[in-house]
Amino acid sequence: MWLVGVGAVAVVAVLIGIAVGPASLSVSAILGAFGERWLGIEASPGLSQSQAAILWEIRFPRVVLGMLVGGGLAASGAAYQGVFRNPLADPFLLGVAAGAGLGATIGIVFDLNRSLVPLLAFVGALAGVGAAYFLGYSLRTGRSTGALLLAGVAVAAFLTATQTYLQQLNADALREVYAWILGRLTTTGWHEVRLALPYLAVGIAVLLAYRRTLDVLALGDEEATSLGVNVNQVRTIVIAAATLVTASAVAVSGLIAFVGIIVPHILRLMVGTSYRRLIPLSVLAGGAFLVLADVMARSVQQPAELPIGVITAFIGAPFFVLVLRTAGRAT
Amino acid sequence: MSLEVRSVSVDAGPVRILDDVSLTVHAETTTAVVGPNGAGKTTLLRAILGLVAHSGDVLIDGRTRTARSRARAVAYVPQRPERPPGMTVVDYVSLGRTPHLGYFSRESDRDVLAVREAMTVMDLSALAMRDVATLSGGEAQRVALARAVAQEVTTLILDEPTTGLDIGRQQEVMALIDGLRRARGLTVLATTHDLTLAGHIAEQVVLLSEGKLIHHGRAADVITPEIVATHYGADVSVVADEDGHQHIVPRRISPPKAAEETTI
Repeated sequence: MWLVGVGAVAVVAVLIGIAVGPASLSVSAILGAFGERWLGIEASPGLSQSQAAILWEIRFPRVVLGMLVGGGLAASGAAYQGVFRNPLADPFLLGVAAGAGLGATIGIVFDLNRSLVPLLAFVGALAGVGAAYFLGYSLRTGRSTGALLLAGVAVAAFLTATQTYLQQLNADALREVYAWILGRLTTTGWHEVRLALPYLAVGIAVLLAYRRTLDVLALGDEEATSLGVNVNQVRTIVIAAATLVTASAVAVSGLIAFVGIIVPHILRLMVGTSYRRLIPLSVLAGGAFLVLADVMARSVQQPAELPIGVITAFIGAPFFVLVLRTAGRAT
Repeated sequence: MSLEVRSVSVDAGPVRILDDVSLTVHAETTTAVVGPNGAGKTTLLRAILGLVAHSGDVLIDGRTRTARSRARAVAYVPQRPERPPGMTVVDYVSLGRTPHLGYFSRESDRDVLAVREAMTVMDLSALAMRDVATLSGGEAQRVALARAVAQEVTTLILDEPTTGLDIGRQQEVMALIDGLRRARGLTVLATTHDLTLAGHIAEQVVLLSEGKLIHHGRAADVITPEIVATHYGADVSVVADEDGHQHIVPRRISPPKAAEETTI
């Protein structure tokens, strides 16, 4: 039932995301164009040629990217919170952000071909988490996830220091690096979607598949083991999938803050803490949230665009406080 | 259906916390594990459940088991089961189905039925949508038992199932456990600090002390004033009632001299 409700919100968000912009498209025209392309129903009156181009080559890819990135960040945030049994875990926790930031900064500062920046960010993100993971496991005492979190903190601090140093070496690149770090959803046709889709799809599918097992992990390591779950294996797989999702999201859209924390927490207040509901709903609600945030980012200061990370944090932070207050009262 | 522990030892670094323990719990009987704090009771349970590295063998229904196969045969209710805030009772109980499901498969009608039945047996239907974190101690214990029932196992392992409950809830929980054992033919192994209770519920009592199995037998043979004095440092009387059940009654009211000296 919740799935239908949140699904409907996502559909509305997609329609708003496509309709709103410098050249506004009517919802009926959008639906007509979709019907024509996918169902073969003749739309009358159809979109003009330039409107069709705006729809199919500008707005729709951007909205699809927003759904994918937002859904991916929210689902991997929820998964991280489950794996670490820590409500403040977010997808950037283990060095994804710092690694991606360093990768992108290398691309920008050394003035490499800009099409390499997503790749460098992606590799940096995976390397950051990989380093934190191996460091965490070599340090670890007992079976706690604490060592992993501390290793993540150390790796992130080191990578951020390196990134800041590189950035200072080349002040000209500062603005571009900064814009990248704040995150944005700009698309050149379907290029970014094609780039990120395979990794996002695989990662999100794995997280969806493990949603029930995340509920078992909520019982703690001992009880989960007594229910036949290989806790370390599950944790590794979920962290890997969530990292893949986050790294590919970051690669195409920069560091969009807060989606991975507030979306799962708001959903928890609505539908409870079971990951069986939380993960699928996070995908839809995270996508809808980011698409709507993107609408604001590009319409508040037209024709300039605000970085989307500013919008998500600006709305997200107060909302987050509200959520925490409500949750505090409930317990 | 039985549980057999063969020469199981557990080391924590240089310290041997369980030393060459062997015991058999016969099918459809209850064995109580007693012993002073730090005797290794919980460690014995953890070894049986494969939660701690050990030497020796644990045979469940005649064979050693992998983690998943063990989870289909043995259910564990820890002393304080984790109750994740925000999880509903029905979601919690359904986690008992985990060993019967693949990582990716959904719960089938069969699973839903098993969960519903477990909730009915434990009289939880009215609490189905409650948050498990908000339950009272007695309710929480029933919910944990319901999860074990949904697991559809042959063997139930309980760590101090009545600790922290009022006397009415203690009796209720013990009656439920005994009812389950009879109705489902379960083999039960439970630790307890309540020596009277141990004698009432268990056919066999095992006394552990300093990691070693000291006595194993009928309650009347294991729980004697002499043995309790030796291993617990307690002064008790054992009184038999008209049904032949023995009651352990503490005799010492004032604190022991040694304790007085250390506290001053």
